[in-house]
Formats: sequence, C-alpha cells, structure tokens
Amino acid sequence: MKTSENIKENTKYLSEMKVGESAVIVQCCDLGRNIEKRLCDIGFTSGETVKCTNASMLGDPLAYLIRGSVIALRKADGKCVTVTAVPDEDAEALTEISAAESKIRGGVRSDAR
Amino acid sequence: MRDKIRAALCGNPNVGKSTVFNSLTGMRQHTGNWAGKTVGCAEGHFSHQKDGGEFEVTLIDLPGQYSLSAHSPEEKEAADFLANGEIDCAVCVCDATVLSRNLILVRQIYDICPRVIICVNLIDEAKKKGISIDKQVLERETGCPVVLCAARRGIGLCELKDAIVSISTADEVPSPKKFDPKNAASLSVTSPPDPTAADRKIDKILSSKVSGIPIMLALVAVVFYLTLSLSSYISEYLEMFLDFISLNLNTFFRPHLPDFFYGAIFDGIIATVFRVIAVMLPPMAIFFPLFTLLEDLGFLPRVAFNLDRCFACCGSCGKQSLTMLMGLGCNSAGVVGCRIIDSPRERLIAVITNSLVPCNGRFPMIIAMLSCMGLSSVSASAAMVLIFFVCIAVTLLASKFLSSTILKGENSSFTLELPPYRVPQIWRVIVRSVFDRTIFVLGRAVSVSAPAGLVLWLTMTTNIGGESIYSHLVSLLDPIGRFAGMDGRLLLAFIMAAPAAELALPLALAGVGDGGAGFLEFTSDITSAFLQMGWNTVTAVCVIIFTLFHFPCLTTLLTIKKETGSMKYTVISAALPTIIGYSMCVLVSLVSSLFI
Repeated sequence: MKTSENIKENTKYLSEMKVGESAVIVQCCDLGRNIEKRLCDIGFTSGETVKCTNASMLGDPLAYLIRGSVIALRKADGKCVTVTAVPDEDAEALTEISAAESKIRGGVRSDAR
Repeated sequence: MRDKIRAALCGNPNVGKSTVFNSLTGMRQHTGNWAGKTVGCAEGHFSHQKDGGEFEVTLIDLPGQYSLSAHSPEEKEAADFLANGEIDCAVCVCDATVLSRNLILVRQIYDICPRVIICVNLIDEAKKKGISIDKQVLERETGCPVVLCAARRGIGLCELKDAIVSISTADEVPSPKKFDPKNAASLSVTSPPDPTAADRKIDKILSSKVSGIPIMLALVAVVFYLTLSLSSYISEYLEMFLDFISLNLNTFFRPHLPDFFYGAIFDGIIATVFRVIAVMLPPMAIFFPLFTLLEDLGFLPRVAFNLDRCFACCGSCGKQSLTMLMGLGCNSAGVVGCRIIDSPRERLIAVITNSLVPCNGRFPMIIAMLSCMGLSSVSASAAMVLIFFVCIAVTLLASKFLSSTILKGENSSFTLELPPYRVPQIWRVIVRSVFDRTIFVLGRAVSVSAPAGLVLWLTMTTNIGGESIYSHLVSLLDPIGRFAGMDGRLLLAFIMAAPAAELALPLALAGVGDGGAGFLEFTSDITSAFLQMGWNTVTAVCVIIFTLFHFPCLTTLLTIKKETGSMKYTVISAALPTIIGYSMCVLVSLVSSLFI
C-alpha cells in the first residue's frame, strides 16, 4: 500500500512522462485552457491507466494510449493532467491481469452456454 | 404503427459512421480514416419491411463527436439536434476496438434520447486483433439493444435496420440505465494485452527523427510522380480522342450554321471545354484516388502529429496540415475541411491561408511550365516536391504573420486521435474515386468552362476601335504583367480564370497556333506555343509562382464567405495570396534582370 508521502513523490504531469512509461491518472484540471471536460470525454479520467507510446518527430505533441485508443496531446495541455508513475513491471502486470481476467470471463461465458 | 421514421446516426469520430450511413442509404459520402472527416449533416433514406409493415426511414448522419458538451460549433449543433430534432431513435456507432471510450458518448446521449441503439462497428478489425464482444452482456449492462456489424463488408446491416424499426415503433420507452462506460466495456470485451501493438511499431518508424521525414517525403514524391507521369500519357490520348470528336462535329455542323453561331459554339465553347477536360481530367483522376488511399490508410493524422510543433510556433495548429492536404485536391473542400479545427482563431488562419496550396486545377499550369523548362518526368516530380515545400513554408510564414497581426491570440488546446491503420479497400477506392472525379470534372467543364469559353471568344472577336477587346485588355495589363516577369496575356489569363483555376492554361494559350482548322487551335505542343509567345525560363518560374500564390477561385471565395460569415476575411483571403505572389514574381524578375 502506498503511503500518502509516496503518492505525492510519485506524481508528475502527463507531459513529463517518457516514451514507454505507464502511469495512472490522478486528476485533470483546467489551468484556464478549457480542456478539462474534453479530456474526460476522451477518456482521461481518474484511475485510468495511460501509457506514453511515442513522441512526435519534433518532440511535441506526445501520443498516449488510453482506453484502447491513441490520443496526441501537446505538452502545454499535458500539464493539466497529474499522474502517478507505475514502474514498468507493474504496468505489464496490470495489463496481463486485465487480459487474463478477460479470458476467464470469456471462458465462464462460453461454459455457461 | 408509424410508417415514417427519423433516426440520427451519431458516435465518436473515426468509428466508420459514414460507412454505416453509406451502406444503409446507398448515398455516396466521402469517408477517410482520420477523426473529423464528416463535416456537416447529410440525410439519406432507406425502406425496410418488418412484420408485414413497410417503413420509410430517414437517416441523418451527424458529424463525429467525443461528447455532447459542445467543445466546437459542430458538436453543439449535433447536441441541439439530438435534443430538438424530433427523432425517433439514435443509432450510436462504436468502434469495437475502442468500446470503453465510445460508451462515454452513448451514456450522454441516453440521457437526452432514451431510444438508443448501440451499433458496434468494425468487428472484422476487432477479430483480426483478437478482440471479441459479448452482445448479451453489453445489452444487459447498458439496457440498450446492441447490433454487431462490419459495415464495409455488409455484415449486420439487416439486423441494424430491424433494430431501428423495432425501437422506433415500440410503445414503451425503455428507461435509461445509469451504467459506467468503463465497467460495461470491461465486462463485455475480451481482448489481448495490447491490441494496438502493431500500429505502435509503425508509428515509431513514422515519427522517429531519422526515418520520419524521408518516409513522408518519399510518399509525397511517389504521389506526385505517379500523377505527373501517368497524366501526361492520358492527356495525349484524351486530346486525340477529343480532337477527333471536335473535327467530326465541325464537318457536320459547319455548312448548317451561320458563321457567328459556329464561331461562338465551336471556337468559343467547345474548344475551351475540350481543352479544359484534356488538361484537368487526368491529374484529378490520378491524384484523388492516391490521396484517398493514403487517407483511408490512416496516414494523414500522423502528418499532423509530426508537424504540429511547426504550426504551433506560427500560432496555428497541426490540423492545418490536414486542411492543406485537402486543399491540394480542391481549395473549396479545404476551406470546408477547416471545421476540424476547434479554435475559431486558428480556423480562420487555416481558411485564409488555404489557397497558398495549389489545388488540382492549378496542377496543369505548373506541369506545363515545368515541361516547357525542359524538365524530365523525374526532375519534374522533384520540382513538384520542392514546390510543395515552398508552399508549406509560405503558409507557415503567412500563418505567423496573421497570428501576430490581425488574428492574435493564445494557442488553443489540441487533441488529435491517431486511429489504427486500416487496409484500404484498394480496388473499390480507385474505381469510385476515378468515377466521382470524372463526373465532377465534366460537370464543372460544362457549367464553368463553357460560359468562360464563350466570353473569351466574344472578347477576341468583338472589335472596338480597330482592335479586339482582348487585345485592349492585354495591352492594358502588359506593364503590370511585365513588371512581374510575365506579360499582359498571362495576367489576363489568370484574371479570366477567376471562376475556375483550370481555365488558366487554356486561356493563356488561346489563339496560339498555326491557325487552320479553328480560330482557337487545339495546341498540344505547349512548348512550341510557349516559345512562339516569346516566353523564357524566367517567365515560366514567375508563372509557377503566381499560379501558386494568387487570389482563390470564385467558388473558394464564396465558400470562405459562407464559412466565415465575414466579408472582411474573404477580402483578406483574396488579397493576401495575391500580394505574396506578385511581390515574389517582381523579386524574381528584378533579380534575374541583374544576372541575365
């Protein structure tokens, strides 16, 4: 269980993520850029896992994998989202767990028929 | 039982909504694989029989939206429509590979319109990636009827029509269920760990500093090379064919018509129309299918992704690169396409600078000038790529200028979806695109070039004070033209080509030739005509520059007026490119006169 100090230490902005890094979203705020609602609608909500997949040729914007689709955000907008970094092994484990869960559900359903 | 049903088609951008629309209604709407392609509403109809009753369904295709919270005018329009548009049901199209996010919108629509059908599209794509959807679970979790389909293969469409009729005619309105999109998706979707892995690999190559630019350059160069080399072949045969027709009509009608009518019809209208078709049809019929293939592939958003920083530095946004690419096909379409840019300020910048990119109609003039300069097919394509870069540079500078002066403001926030790569239906795209473009060119030739040809013939044959009106105009414009490295005839051609850019080349060559069969001889040897007029390399360069940078055609100006609602910006859109083009030509002319 993470302590509250750990959580504060581990948080950073979405724009500060490195390519290949995964993180969990803490919150979105507006910073006067009128983007908070749009981010929520696109899937950037608290508790969601996000992975930085690649950077543009010129370094900005960055592309993020969220809820199965890839969205590019400028760094200025990425500052509106706070995330907690997830170490790589944990990130892989998270995705594997959710894939396994999916398979089990699928198996249960087909058994039920 | 109601006979007429009104259904709205909604959903996130890029879920194949327009494909569903086209498949159900048979109407042709241009679809492309990047978010935001449908701009404006389209209505279509289909009839369906169910339980012994005949139903007439009107389907309204709304532009793609991420939510009903009205981030842009189009999203607000869609939200208003769903609330007030008197529809019997809403069909929410979702992408099977991105269901979790798509359901966010479904949930919002459910609150406004309780009769909702969830249409999960692209299940063929999902299957390839190992993703499967459990229809029963999804129906249970959301409380909505669910139809699984793959619209481009025609799967699930009958079921969809059934569902539309059922829900619209049901007496009981189902009560909205407050479901959580993520939960509903995770319960009903079975998926491997990272279904987007293959796309990510390709993206890494495309956006890497090392390989990104060469690949983009190579693709652009290939498109230009194919367009240039194939269209010169086709132009030749097309010219021979049209010449043949013209000769036969000539022989048949000459004895029967009085001279005046004969001249007006054959030397004015038919000569110009045929000439326009011969130069305009081949590039359009090749460029558009190639471009559509790149679009359908999903390549274009990556271009916007890579170039966004350049545009942001100039006070604009990466989506402008997409509107510029659309403008390469047709500037009017490019202007309408600027609706994909949410911020009004950045949208205006994109609209005003759109005609700094040459549309297909301007290609023939550029190609002709390049061949007159003696360039081979390969070097001409290289020149086109260079020209393309000059246009991008000028557009960036003009955007910077606008955002520092009359369109000042903050850079807006920007989200761009990078959709999965999809294999385009190559044969279908090519056939449909060639067919569409041919009809378009022929239609334009008749509606615009025919009257223009008539006007040209009248100016050439009506004499005032011993000389034709045409000669008077040429003399009037000559000093202005020569100062910019051209001459009066060329300048007049540009002015008279205001209705449609493709008129410029035929107008410039009007009346040049050996005389003989017709007053306006069909000049297929452009180079000899070029030399006959006393033009040289400097002239060719200046003509190319002015072709690239001058006032947009009338159709585009009308579109700009309609989209911006402002006369001021329409005038600026006409003035800015002209000033840029004329100044550059003057510069080239002055510099070359120093050295030559």
